[in-house]
Amino acid sequence: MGVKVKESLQVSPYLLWFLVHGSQTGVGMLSFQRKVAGGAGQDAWVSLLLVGLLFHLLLWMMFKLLSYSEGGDILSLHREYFGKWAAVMIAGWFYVYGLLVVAVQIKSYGEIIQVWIFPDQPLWVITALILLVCAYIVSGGFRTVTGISFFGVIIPSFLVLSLYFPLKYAHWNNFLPMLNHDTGDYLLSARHTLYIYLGAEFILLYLPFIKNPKQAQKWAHLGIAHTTFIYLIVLVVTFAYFNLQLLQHTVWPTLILSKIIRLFFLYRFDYVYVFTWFIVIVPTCCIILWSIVHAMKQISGRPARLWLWISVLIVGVIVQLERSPVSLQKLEAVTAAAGSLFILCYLPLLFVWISIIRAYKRRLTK
Amino acid sequence: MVDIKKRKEAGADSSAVAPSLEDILQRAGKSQDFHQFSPFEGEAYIQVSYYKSMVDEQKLTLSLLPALQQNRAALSHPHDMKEILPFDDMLLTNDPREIESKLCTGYLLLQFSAATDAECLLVNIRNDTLGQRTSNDTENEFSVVGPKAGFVENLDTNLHLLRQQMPVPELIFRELTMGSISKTRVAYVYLDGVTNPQLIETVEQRLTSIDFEIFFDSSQIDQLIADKSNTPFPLFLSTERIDRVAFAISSGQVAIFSNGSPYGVTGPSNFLDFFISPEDYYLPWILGSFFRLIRIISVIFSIFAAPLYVAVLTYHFEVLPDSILGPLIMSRLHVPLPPVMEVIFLEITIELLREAGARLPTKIGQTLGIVGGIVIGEASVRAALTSNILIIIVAFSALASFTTPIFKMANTIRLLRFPFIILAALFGGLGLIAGFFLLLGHLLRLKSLGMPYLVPLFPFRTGNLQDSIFRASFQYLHTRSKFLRPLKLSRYKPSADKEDIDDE
Repeated sequence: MGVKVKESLQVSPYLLWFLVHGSQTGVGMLSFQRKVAGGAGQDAWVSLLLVGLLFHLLLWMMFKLLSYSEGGDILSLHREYFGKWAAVMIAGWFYVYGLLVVAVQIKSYGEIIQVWIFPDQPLWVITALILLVCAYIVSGGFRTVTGISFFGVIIPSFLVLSLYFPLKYAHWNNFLPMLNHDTGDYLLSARHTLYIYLGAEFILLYLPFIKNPKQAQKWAHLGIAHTTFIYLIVLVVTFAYFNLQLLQHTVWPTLILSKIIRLFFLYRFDYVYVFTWFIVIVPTCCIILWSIVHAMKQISGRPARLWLWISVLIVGVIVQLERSPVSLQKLEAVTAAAGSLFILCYLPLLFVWISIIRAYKRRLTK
Repeated sequence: MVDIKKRKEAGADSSAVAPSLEDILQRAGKSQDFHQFSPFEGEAYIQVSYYKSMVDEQKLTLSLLPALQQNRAALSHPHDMKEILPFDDMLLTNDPREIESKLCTGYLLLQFSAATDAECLLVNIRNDTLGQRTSNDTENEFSVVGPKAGFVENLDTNLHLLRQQMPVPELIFRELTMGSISKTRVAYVYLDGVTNPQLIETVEQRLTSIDFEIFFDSSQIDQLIADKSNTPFPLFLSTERIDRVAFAISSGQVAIFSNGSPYGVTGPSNFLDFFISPEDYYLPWILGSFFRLIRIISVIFSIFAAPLYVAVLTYHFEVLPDSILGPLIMSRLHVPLPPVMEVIFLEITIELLREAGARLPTKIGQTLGIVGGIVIGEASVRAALTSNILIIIVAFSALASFTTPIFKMANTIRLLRFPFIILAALFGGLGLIAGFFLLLGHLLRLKSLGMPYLVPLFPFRTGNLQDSIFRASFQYLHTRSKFLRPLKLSRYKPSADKEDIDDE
């Protein structure tokens, strides 16, 4: 703990773009439109943009916080300011939260696979397949995880082009009347939006593995801007294609959008979409798994490989735990609440608190 | 257990106490190709010893013996002989160990005194070319345009060929002897002032740390110095083409040769290196780029075509439009096997044909093509073992795998198809995409001499892309690849393209 990471293990700053973007986008992009439209309706894109801006601010806060610490991650920050047990607590919290996020990703994707493609395939087979791929990648170390998130952002980018087809049937007056909601509605939308942006906070754990963190900050911001941009165009196309009433009854609007595409050799483009989404969720799971495994390794001193298999097992159990139609929603709600609480309450509080301590110390030394 | 221990101790003892010259000659005398004689009767003590199987008898009878006879009077001390004898590689020594190892590699021993610790003269009259082939056509890496000469089994010839291609003092050969029994001469070659010294150090260190018995081919060295052995991918490029090795050395890579192997090993290599053919550079860049792109696409096709067939026909036939599904069903109408069995049956047939073709002499090999192509292909469709469409797919993917210029990589691609077929049969498209990600994760973990295997794609390096998936014009290829960290980046100064509008 607190030991500087060797330079040969670090990755270039620009890769932070792909790490941040890769950890934010996941299975949420297939289904977020319905919930987001719940508050502000056709104006929900405003909330989406605002939450994007909020994340820029939070990211700035995270970088500022980490620059106060010698070790460069949140564990060493806690140890330096509040002692060893605070570091253990925060590592434990990240561990539980990370496992929940990974479980939600895998469970939601498994559900899509079952509904869309393999109704007879048991969930544990799909889970095992995804987890084995993740475990293999994570055991390759941070460089491999970064590489996977790089390709996991580049390869699925071609799907953006597929949004052209629904635009042929766009009803642009779906957006009218513009900006006719009140603040409460926007906030309600924003609350649901927050969930799809979560994932960026794991930067608090893996930042020491980035060369030159100061320079890397702009790439992290670019990653968040990229996320905002992708969510925005998907949301705009969805609103242009669906009317709000129809949207309320659509579970996976993004997949429905792709279903209308017919190529001369391919009648069901949504299959391509679902399978390509594997490439989107695996980097998310890998980054998070690597971060929490690394954190636990630091705290416990036990080998990372042990923690990796323990984590994979726990995720597998969480996914299997309850099999009812609402179990996924419950899991999602818990995860979203945990993440939102951390990023909206704990992080700003920590920032203020540490700023006060630093100001106080500075006065003392004067 | 005790026995082994004892023997080990005995071995350690014998190596600790140096054997005398007499012991050595006695041991060598056990072998019947070891000859000893004195050229003159009586007068002075002169004894000549050598392995008949290793020396050039012509040098012995036409140069060495006449020189001895002409200077009979002056033969009192080995120093005098050194001045008289018409050979360049001679050395004076009284170290029995050195004498033993030199004798075995074709040196001749001249003793001038009966005393065992007296200095003796070792003369190199090794016959290097005996039993070596003289033709050096490239046999496996053929190109229509460009040089046809390749390396041979003789290390000195290979180094000669290389220096002929690059007659500059910066070209450095460093030689080592490796293998406890084979005593193979291994040389690594680099360009001084271009190749990164760290890289040279790594190669030297990896080579010297190898402990091995017999080296038959440089590909063994390739495997022994690899960063990771649990991978189907070749981590070093091995080639018999002079131009390839010269290009690699001039780019700042290190080449390794071993005596007895016509293949040079160059490294560090990256994934895309294996899909480059020298012909890309001999054809105009537009054609060169096109063919390189075809090769890369054919690799993807070769790996994924048959698994995709399995996945679609087993699970996802609804993705196909009726116009394609109709013919597919028609051609599979009488096939009793499930798609995966059908594909594996046909793939194995192709592999059998290939393997048999590689083992058979060339003349019989041609008949095999006819047997395989017509008889098996046509008959297995008639017998309803496979569908026509699958034969086309499998034949195409076999053809596509042959476009890879480097044999080792072509083999890897042949192998990769099978896990993908099985994954596709088990999980359909999900298995395919999971397999693809496993493969990507595996490639990301690989390193060649410490350099990431997927560079310049990941870590993404701009400025090195002009010679990767496509080949740009020579106007833009004037810098070396940055990821090899060469000491000098610039190769040459490009001249500007001639603009018609300015001149005419």
